[in-house]
Amino acid sequence: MPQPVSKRKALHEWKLYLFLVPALVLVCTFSYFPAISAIYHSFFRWSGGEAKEFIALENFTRALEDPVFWGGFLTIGILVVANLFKMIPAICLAVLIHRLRSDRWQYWYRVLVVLPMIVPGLVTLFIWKFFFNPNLGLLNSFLDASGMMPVLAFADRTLGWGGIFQEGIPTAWLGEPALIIPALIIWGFPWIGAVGVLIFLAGLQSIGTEVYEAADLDGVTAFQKFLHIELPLIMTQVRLMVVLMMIGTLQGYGLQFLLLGESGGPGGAGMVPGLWMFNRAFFAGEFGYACALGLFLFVVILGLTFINNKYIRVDK
Amino acid sequence: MRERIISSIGFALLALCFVVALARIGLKQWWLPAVEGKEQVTIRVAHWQLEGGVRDAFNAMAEKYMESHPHVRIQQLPVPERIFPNWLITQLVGGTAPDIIQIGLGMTEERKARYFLPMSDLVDLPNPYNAGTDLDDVPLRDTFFDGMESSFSQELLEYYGLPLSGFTVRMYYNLNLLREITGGESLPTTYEELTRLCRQTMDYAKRTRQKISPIAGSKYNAPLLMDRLSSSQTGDLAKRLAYDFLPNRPSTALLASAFRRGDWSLETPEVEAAMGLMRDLGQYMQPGFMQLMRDDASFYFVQGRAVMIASGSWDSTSIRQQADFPVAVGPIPVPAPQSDPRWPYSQGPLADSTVEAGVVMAITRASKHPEIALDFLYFMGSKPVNQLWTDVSGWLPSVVGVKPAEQSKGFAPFLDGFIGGFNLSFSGADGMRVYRNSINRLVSPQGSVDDFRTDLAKSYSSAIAEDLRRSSLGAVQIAQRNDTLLAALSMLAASGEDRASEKLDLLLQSSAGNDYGARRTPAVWKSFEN
Repeated sequence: MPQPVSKRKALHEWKLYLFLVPALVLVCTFSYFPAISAIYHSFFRWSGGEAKEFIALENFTRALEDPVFWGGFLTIGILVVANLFKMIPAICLAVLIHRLRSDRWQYWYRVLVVLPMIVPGLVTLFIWKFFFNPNLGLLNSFLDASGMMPVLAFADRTLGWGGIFQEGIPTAWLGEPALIIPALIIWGFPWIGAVGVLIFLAGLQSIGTEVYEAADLDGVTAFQKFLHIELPLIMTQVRLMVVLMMIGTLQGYGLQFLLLGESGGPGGAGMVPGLWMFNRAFFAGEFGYACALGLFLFVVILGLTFINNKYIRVDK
Repeated sequence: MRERIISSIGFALLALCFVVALARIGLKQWWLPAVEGKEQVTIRVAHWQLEGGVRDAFNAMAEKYMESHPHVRIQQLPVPERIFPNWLITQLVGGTAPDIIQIGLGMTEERKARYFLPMSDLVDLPNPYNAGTDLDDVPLRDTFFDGMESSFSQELLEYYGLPLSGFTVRMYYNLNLLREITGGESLPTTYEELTRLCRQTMDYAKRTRQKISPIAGSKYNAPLLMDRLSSSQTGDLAKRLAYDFLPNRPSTALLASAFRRGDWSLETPEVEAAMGLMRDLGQYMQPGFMQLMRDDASFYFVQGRAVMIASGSWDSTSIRQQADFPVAVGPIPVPAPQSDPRWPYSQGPLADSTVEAGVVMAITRASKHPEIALDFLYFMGSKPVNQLWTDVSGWLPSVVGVKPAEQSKGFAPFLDGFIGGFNLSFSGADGMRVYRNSINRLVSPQGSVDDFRTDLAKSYSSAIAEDLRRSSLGAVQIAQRNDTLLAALSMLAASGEDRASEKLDLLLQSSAGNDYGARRTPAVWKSFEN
């Protein structure tokens, strides 16, 4: 436990505190000032620039009644649930790498996982956009070549999906409201995020070999080891990833913007709160209102993170 | 020792790259040839025209200008169209805007008023760079084929910038495919011939098992075609609504107010016919085209996967450069009168008479050298330099008497014909958003006019009201800002200050539009209650 330091002792080499100044200035300028500016401007009718009009809480009351903004949270909810499942491949891969007996092979698999990180995210998004192209894209070509398209068309006719899959007509993955959420979920397949794998691996490597030896003596199968030893012991990492994923999903809109445009695609099916905030600021020129939306988003993220930390406990 | 050298190679390389990059930027940004007695100046010019030939044309104009003005460096900033609106607003708000910016994408009247310098007091004076040509002594306004209508703000009653080019929208044809499918090279001249060609193409694709579509569409190209077609049905309606006496067509504010009042609706027969026409042609574009971007459609066409694509004269050079087949250009055919009972409001061929010049370049208030920026603007808008622009870019000229380049001859405007009406995406950011969100219901194979109308009706009216509210509030803000200036100028004029009366007159004139917008506000608020 850290010992309390007397004021005299703390100020003895006071000049050393000056080394903190550059970092503090940068953090205040680039992190705190924009946030404080956003809070300040959320009380104004402001379209950028100098002219603004104080309107008190009008932006907030308007945001409370904004159906597009709150409707976006439904999309976010679906994506958060889907992203929870999309964490499974990363956990599985981390476990597989962890169980490799050869250190050399472990190293090379880690390199292979990290390698795609050097490709800029924007490039990955563009490639995925091309995959979704109805006429030239990989997804429809795969469905045609694998014979899955007739199956989907049959399911469409039988279950009454509204003709989104039809034989001989390329499927518009980003052009049909009903397919937009599935497309946003399919994106990134096989959903192996390098950061996730590395974090889970770090957790797995902290498990002592004696635990595995004891399990082997008890005749525990590989799957039972995963279920009863590895998964419970990396729950701290899983919880961290869940928090990061929730924050990322709530804040993010780059994926939706690039794949669907600023209006959220057909039927606005891909509209998320972040994209709506961006739309209001840069397309409607309502910066003040966008700031108010951003504050609502901040409160929601803060609340969810609090709930996650307080009520989702990890028992080891 | 060896290990230390090896480990520092990476750092040394990084440092070298940094120094080289810094030196390059330094040379480009700060180094200018010394000119005795003159300040060295850099003028930055930003635009979003990344099409083939245009950057070369800007470079050619810049080099020519720098030859005669060695103390000036013209720096071109081509910004991709997709991010231009966001880039623009960031630059304007941040006070880091270039000296000259292309007006259009992401522009509002409020932003024009706040961030750009008006040129109204210069339009009746001649362009000094036209000296020695047949436009010598001709007022600046009359040297452009559109009388600088493209530079004029109806709401602010001010001129902003000079146009460089003229534009028309045409249908591009893949002549190889056309020959294979029809056995000839004749282009459709009526809507009926166009749809016949589309059906022939679909039969051909089925017969030969090729993935060929009649028309390459995208969320960029399809509206060019569909708006033209739908405007063939709404011409008369627009004339009935255009009681604000603006030239050719009713203003956005008037159309929006008329819609809110119920003077027209999504049930109006002309509007319904326009929707039907859009759906009819939408069937002939590749499935899912509304999810595609402009580049996707161009790629599709130049790969020989579509017989036609609708685009403007601005794409002519790019398409011809990329396509390995001969390309023909023709007008977009609209339904002839009484040719089909489904389109009863057709009047006949549409004229390009409503076409305005484009690539309007305006000076920003952030410019540190507005007088040099203005000089370069004059230079670009002069007859000899506009000829250079046209020859290098292959785009249509904007200056009277400039000869179009060989490749742009098919784009000469048609002057005989009817004036088209409006389309449903006329409104601002919100109107456009709800329209785009619903359009798939009209053009997808399983969609219909009724489906589209029902979906659009859910939020179209409130979106239009929101756009109207925003534009009115902007007008109020500008009017309020001008009021302070007006009061100050009135006091100065009363005290006999030089030129104060003249400035007061000009400001009063330019405030008239905003006052109109500001007066409109209570009515807009009232319409919200309904």
